[in-house]
Amino acid sequence: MAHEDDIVEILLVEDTPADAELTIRALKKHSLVNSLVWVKDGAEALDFLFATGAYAGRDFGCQPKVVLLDLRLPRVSGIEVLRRIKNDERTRTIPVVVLTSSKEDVDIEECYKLGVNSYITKPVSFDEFVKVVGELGLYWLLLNKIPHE
Amino acid sequence: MAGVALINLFVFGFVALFLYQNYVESERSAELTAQNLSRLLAQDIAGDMDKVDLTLVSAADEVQRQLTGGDIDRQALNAFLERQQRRLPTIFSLRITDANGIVLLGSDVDPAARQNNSDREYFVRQRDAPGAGLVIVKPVFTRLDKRWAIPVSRPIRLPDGSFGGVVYANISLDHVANTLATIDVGQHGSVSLRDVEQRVLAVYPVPVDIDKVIGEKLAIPELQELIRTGRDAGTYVTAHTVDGVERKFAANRLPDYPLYVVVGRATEEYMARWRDQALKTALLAVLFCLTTLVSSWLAYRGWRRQQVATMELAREEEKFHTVADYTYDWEYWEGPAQEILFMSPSCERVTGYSPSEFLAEPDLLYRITLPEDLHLMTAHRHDVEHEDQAAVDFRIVRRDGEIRWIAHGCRAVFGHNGKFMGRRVNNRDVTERKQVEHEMRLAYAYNRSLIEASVDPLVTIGPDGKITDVNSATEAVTGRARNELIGTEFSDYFSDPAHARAGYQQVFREGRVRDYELELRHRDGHLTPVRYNASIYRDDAGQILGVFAAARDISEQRQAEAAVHRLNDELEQRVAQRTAELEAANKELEEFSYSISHDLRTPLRAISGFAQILVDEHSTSLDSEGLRLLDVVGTNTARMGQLIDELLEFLQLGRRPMEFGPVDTVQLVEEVFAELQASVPERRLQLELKNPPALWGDRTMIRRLLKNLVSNAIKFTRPRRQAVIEVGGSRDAHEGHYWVKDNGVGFDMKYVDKLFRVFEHAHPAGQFEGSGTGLAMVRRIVARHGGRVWAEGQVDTGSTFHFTLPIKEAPNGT
Repeated sequence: MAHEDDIVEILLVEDTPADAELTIRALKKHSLVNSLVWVKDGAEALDFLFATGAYAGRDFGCQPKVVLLDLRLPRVSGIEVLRRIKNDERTRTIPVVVLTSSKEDVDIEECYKLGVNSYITKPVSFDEFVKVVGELGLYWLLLNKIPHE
Repeated sequence: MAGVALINLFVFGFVALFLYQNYVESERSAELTAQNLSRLLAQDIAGDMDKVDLTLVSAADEVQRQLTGGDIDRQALNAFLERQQRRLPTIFSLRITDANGIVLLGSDVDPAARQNNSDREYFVRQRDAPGAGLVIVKPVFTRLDKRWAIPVSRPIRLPDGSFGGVVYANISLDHVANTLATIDVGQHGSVSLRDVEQRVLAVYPVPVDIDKVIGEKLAIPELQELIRTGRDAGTYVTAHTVDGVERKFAANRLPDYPLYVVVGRATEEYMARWRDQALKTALLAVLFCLTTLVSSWLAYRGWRRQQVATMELAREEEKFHTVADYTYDWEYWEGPAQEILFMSPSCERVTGYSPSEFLAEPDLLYRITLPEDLHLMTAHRHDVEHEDQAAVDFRIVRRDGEIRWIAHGCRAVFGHNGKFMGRRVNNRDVTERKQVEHEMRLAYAYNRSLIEASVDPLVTIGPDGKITDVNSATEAVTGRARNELIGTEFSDYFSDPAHARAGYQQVFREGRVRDYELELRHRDGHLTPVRYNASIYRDDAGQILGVFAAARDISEQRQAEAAVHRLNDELEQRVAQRTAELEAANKELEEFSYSISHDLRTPLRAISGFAQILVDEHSTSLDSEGLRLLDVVGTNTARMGQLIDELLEFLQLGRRPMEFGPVDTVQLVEEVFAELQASVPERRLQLELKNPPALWGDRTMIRRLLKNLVSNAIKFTRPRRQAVIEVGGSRDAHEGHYWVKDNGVGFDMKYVDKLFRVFEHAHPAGQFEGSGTGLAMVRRIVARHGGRVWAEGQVDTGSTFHFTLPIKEAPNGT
C-alpha cells in the first residue's frame, strides 16, 4: 500500500513557468490538481518516473494517472522522455499526453510512432486553453481506466 | 533439162522407129529368104522328080515295047533297069511288078522269091486307077532293101491296054533329106516335103522317131488354106509344129508335082541379129541418155555454182556498200598518195559537206579544220608516218559555221600482198561528249576544291585498307605528301594501328562509324587527337568502292573538355558548398519555424492567459477603461496567434514534399464550398460550376488553393445580398486553366501587384478580416505546381482569379 504522499495523479513536465502556471490554473478551475507534480525538464521527469536521482526514494509502483509532457524541454527533450517511457515495460502503460505549442507534423508523427496516448496543441487563447486542459484532465483522471498491477 | 529430156525422147523415139523398121525388114527378109529357099528346093526336088519320072517312063516304055514284041528279055531288061538306076543316085531301086504285084524285075530281084507288093499303096493306086500316071505315095520301109523310100510309080500297059503291072522307083529318103539339108535354115529351122494331104514325105533335120513322123499327116491350118486355094506359094508364122518352136514358114508347090516344100525358120534365130542390133542400139541409146544426163547435170551444177558465186558477189557488194555507206561516223579511205578513195555519205551529216566535195578537193579536211587545231593534225600526220594507227581530237568548222569536236582515228591499210594501200579513217563527232567532259572536269575541279578546302583531313580507303585519296588537310596533319600516302596502309598513320584498322573494318561491316576517336601521327612524331566520321561509298551499280573518312581535329575540343572538367569539378564543389549552405539555411528555417511555432506562441499564450486571469480574477479593481484595454490585449494576442498559425502553414507549404495524382476538381470545389458555407450559415451563397476540368496535382495543396480562393470570394462578397461564385476552366494539350469569379467588391487593378504578397492587402485594414497569407499561399501552391496565377478585378463589380496547372500526365475523365 503506497503512502498517501506518494500518490501522484498528474505529472506535468513543463519548462516554461507561465505555461505551467496557466496549466495548473486551468486544472485548478476543474479541481484536478490534488496531486500534481511539476518537473521542469526531461531529466527530472525521467528521474521521477524511474525513481532515480532526486526521486530515488520514490515508490516505483506508484505512478501518475497521466503525464502532461511538453516537447521543448531543456536537457532531455520531450520526445526522448516519451521514448524512454514507452520503451520500458514498467512505464509503458502510463498514459502520456503531449501538451505542446508545436503544430509541426514531424513532431506529431514521431510522438504517435513512439506510442503517445494523446497529442494536444496548446491554444493561444486562455479561454480555449482552460477549456482544453480541463477536458483532458477530466478525461484522463476520471474517465480513463488504466490496468492495475 | 527439158531440152535434154526432149532430145532423149527424140532419140528414144528415133531408135524405136529404127528398130521397128529393122524388125519389119528382118521379118520381110526372113520371109523372103524362106520363100526363096523353098522355091529353090521345090525346083531342085522337081528336077530330081523329073529325072526319076523320065526313068520310070523309059522303063515302062521298054517293058511295053518288049511286051509288044512278045516276050520279055529279062536279062536285057534287068540290065536296062540297072543302067537307069545307076544313072540316078536319087533312087536306090528300080523295079517292076506284074499285074498281080509280084516283083519280077529290077535290081536285086529274085523272081523266084515272088515278092508280092500288091498290098503296097502305089500298086493299089496304079491298079485301081488306070489313068493315074505318076503316083507318088508316102514313104515306106522297103521290104527288099530294108530302107526308107518314097515309092514313085508308073503303070505298065499291056499291049491290049490293060493293066500289066507297075514300074516303081524307091527314092531314097536319105537322099531327099540330104537335098533338104543343102539349105541352111539355122539350128532350129526345119525343111519338109509334103504331099497335098500334108503328109510328111521327108523332113530335115531327121527326127529320131522317124516312123512317127514320116507319112503322118501333120496338118497346119495355114498350109491347108494354101493347098485349098491352089496357090503355089505362101508364107505364114506358126508355132503349130511338132517341137512347138515358133517359126516362119514358107511353102512352095513343086512345079508339076502335087508336093510342097515347106521351109521353116525359127523366129528366134532369124530375129537374133535384129535382137542383137536392137540390144546394141538400146545400149547406145541408154548410154547416150546417161551421157546427156550426166553432162547436163554437170552443166547445171556449174551453172548453179556460177549463180551462187554471182549472188555471193552481189551480197558481198551489198555488204560492202552497207558497211561503207551506212556508217554513223564520217569515214573515209585515203590512198597512198593521200588521195581520197572513198568517203562515207555520213560526212555530210558531220561536216555539212558532201562526199563529192571531199573527193573533188583533197585538202577540204584541212581547210575546215579550226586553224588553232591545225598543228594537231600536222603532228598527227607526223605520227602516222611511223605508226600503223593513231588518233587525235581536233575541231572543225562546219559549213554552217558551227564548231564541232571530231575524234579522228586512223590506221594503215595493207593489201593481200602486204602492199600499203593508204589509211582508213574514222571521224566521230564528239562535241557533246567533249562538253560533258568539260563540265565533268569543272565539276571535278569544283568537288576537288571543296575536298581540298576542307579543314578536316579527308581520306578514302580501299577494301584492302590502302589509302586511295587524301586532301591537303591530311597532308598537313601527317606531314606527308599525297603521293607518299596514296597506296599505303591507312592504319600506319595512327598511334594505335590496330584500333584504326578495326575502325575502317567496322565501316565496311556496318556501313559507317560515328565519332571514332584516334590519334594521327605526324612525320615528326607529334600526335593529333581526331574524331573520325566515316561511311562507305559506292559506284553507280551499288558496288562498294571504299570508305570515305573525315577526321576532325579535336585537340581544342580536348582542351575545352579538360577545361569543362575542371570547371565542372569546381562547380560541383561550389554546388556542394552551396548545398551545404542551403541545407544549413533550411535547417535554420526549420528551426526558425519551429521556434515560431513553439517559442513565439508560449509568451503569447502567457500574455493572453494572464490578461484573461486579470479580467477574471481582478475585474473589481479595474475601471472600465482598464477592462477595455485588457480586451484589446486579448483581441491582439488572438490575432497574433492566428497570424503565427497562418505563417507556419505558409512556410510549411514550401517544405512539404508533393504527392501528385489526379484530382476531381468539381468534387473538390463542392466539398470546399460546403465546408465554407457551413462556417457562414447566415450568408446566401450561390456556387456555379462552369465545367472546371479535372487536374493533376497534390490533392492537399490543391484543396488549400481552392479553399483559399473560394474563401476569398465568400469574404469579398459579404456586402452582397446574394453572392455568386463561379468556378470554371478549360484545358489544352499542355495545361489546364481555371478561374474563380465572384460578384464581390472587386479591387482596383493598380493594386493587383499587392494581392499575392504575404501580409499585404488590397483593401484597407479592418475592412475585411484576413492575415494576408491566403493569396500568397495560392501563388505558392500554383508556383510549386509549375503554373501561373493572376487576377482581374473592377471595383464594386467583382474579381476573377485565374491559375494554370501544367498537365504532366493526362488525367482521364473529369
